[in-house]
Amino acid sequence: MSNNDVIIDVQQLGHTYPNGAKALNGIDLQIRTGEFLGVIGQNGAGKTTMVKHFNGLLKPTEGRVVVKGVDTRNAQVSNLARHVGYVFQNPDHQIFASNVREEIAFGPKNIGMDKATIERNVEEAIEVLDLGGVTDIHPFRLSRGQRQRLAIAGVLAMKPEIFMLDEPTGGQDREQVLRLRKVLQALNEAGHTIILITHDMELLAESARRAIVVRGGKVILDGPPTEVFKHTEELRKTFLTAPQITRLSLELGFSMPATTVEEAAQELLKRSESRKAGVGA
Amino acid sequence: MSLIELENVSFRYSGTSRMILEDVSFSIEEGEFVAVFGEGKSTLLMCLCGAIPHLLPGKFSGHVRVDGMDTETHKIAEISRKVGVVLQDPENQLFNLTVEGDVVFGMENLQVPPEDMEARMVDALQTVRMSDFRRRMSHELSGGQKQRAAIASVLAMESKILVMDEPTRELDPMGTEEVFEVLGRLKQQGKTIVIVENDPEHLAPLADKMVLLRDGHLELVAEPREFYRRIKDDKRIRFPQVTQLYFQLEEKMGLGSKVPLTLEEGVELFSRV
Amino acid sequence: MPKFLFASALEKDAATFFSRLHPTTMLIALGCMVVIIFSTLNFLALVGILAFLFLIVVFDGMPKQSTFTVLLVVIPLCVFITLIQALTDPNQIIARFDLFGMGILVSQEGIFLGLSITLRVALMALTMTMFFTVVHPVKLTRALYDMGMPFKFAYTFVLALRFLPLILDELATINNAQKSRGYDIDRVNPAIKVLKMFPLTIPLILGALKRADTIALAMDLKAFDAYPKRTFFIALQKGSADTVVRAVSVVAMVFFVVVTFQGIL
Repeated sequence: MSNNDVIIDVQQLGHTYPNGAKALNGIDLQIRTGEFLGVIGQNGAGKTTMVKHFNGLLKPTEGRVVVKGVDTRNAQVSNLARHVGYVFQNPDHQIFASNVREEIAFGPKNIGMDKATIERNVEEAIEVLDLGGVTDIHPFRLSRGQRQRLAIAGVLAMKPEIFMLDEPTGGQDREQVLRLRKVLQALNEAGHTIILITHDMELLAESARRAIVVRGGKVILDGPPTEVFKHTEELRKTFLTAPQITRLSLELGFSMPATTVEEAAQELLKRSESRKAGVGA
Repeated sequence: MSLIELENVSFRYSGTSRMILEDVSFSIEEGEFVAVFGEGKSTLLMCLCGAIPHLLPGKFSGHVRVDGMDTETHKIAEISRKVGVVLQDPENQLFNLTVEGDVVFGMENLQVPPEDMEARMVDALQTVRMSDFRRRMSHELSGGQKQRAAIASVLAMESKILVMDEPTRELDPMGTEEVFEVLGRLKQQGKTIVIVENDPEHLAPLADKMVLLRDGHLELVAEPREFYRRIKDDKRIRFPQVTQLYFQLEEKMGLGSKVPLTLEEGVELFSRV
Repeated sequence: MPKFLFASALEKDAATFFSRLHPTTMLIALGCMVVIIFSTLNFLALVGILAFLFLIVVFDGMPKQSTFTVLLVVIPLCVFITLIQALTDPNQIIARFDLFGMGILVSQEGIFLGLSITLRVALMALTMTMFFTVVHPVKLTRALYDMGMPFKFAYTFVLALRFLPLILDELATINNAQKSRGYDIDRVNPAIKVLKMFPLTIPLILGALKRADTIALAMDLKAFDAYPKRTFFIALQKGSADTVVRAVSVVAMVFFVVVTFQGIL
């Protein structure tokens, strides 16, 4: 793959907070256009500090971060926002408008989209995040799950090429999580680069195509989820566990660890058929 | 008589017309670990600890009895001697500067004699494995440590019943692990626990009983294996993945009738086929 | 957490002579000190008090750097006050010079008066800082309760200390979240900044209200303020040192007041 595909280039990134705490240490990471990247690790490991560098909220104290060819040290967050969307963990940290449409239109307006585009994007975001039924309800009266989706819609309407989400599944039931997963996958298929920070290993395994594990301000594992989950020892040291289905498939000696229940079901069916066939012969 | 009895409990919040709970009746025995799912689950917990009808405005009817005490006719402080509550965000449950301050807080309010407090605090901190953190400032703790401190502050009040509303929602995997470890220990100690929680893998092996609410009505009360079997097509509830796998393959592979709940049970079952 | 306040009292519990005293003693000493500071504008007397406080900080082992940081904060204010006094007082002119054709007079009396007011501000700041550095907030709450203040009011001090830093964190997060949506309050024209604050203030206020609600619920569920009286885990002890400090404080205060009103100082 040519280097031109790299949309976020992290080189020897280090970050020391003003109080002297060293949060990141020598991170090298290339994220390519169209990737679906999952970021896992405990709180305090440096995940959030790292992704805050991707849209310029934090500037490197060592090394550099280049987003779409621009060194973030020379860029304003409000300008990077055109390319990098970032949905914060708690929707209540961003929702302020008195109706759903106005809330979603806030970001697009800030980055100077024209009126017709804003309208189109708002309606599209409402559709994609299943908010059609609640547009007349005051945003503060929505359920936590709905507010979470509203927050995502507000960033989605800005049409960023890179879409970062911090723990987006809080307060949602399984059905809504499945829906969100489909939304993220559809965005990814449409060419958006997705960066998903989550503690939900099942969601990660089902959706991300690359996973990185952050510990102590460093990226300690990097690869497809199936590969990363094979490193049970390193994961255990980080107090992370692969999804139950993946662990089951490892215990059962699958050649390729399963990331979803469906995969595991297929493999088991195949096994039982070949055994029957074996018995038959 | 059961330790907790709900009798035709209905509730709607002020200013709304939708019934969050409608005619809900069931009971919980002493020492049971009960998980609640579905819409209205948090509201149900608020009924058990007396926050409804005493603190949250709305229209309440029916009866809730905890340890023989009707929650409507008894003050919240009296109920708090029977029912301890742990909420989602530990940050909002620690109102003192140090761990010690929070663990004694409830006892002080309940007028426990100062000479009894030390032993009860040591005990509570021991149960949540936080003995070394006694003098630490709350704001220096990790999420898991904060939530364990919040649990200790409730344990020190020596209530028989613990009500927990998504105690791991704000926590990372390590914090979640820590809290479930404490829950396992509390179950062994014989506490009665009623919990809303989204982590089926940790929950299923601990639960004695699972409760499902739908549209305010009580839909199902059953032990976990039976519970998951009865709702196997319900997409809104998260299952342990081995349980989900079992239901996908049960008929196709003829897996027998015992529903697996844990990784170990799954490995045993599926390595045979 | 505002690190320079409460630092010694919280981290090295009862580590100094003054932090071991009964909080009521410290309240009495504080009250006396405030009266003393306001009873005189005599420059030498104020310098004397400052020297006395410095000695206490040094010999009592209070964290020096953080205690004196507060003086740095008030110095610009002090320079300003002295300058105004020096240039506006019509008595005892010690110098005159021209600035842009205006005759500027510098008054010696003005300088001393300005310095005295300055010292008073600095002394107040120092006294308050020292007080909160050595008095444990929980003990202070207890003392206020013992004096008859309802616990829920006495307790607000501890609550504020616990939750203010959280709310400040929250503001930073909200600011970051809106920045990520292309909204940068730092780049808004300062003239209309206040009008443009809603994307920050609304989530902040609503968040704080929601938090206050949850905290109130959690506190009620722990029987907060349910009974007219409550017990306390920590015990406050009063020793002979308390009696001495109380007596010295009161005598010093009476001395300063009498001397000032007699016109001796």
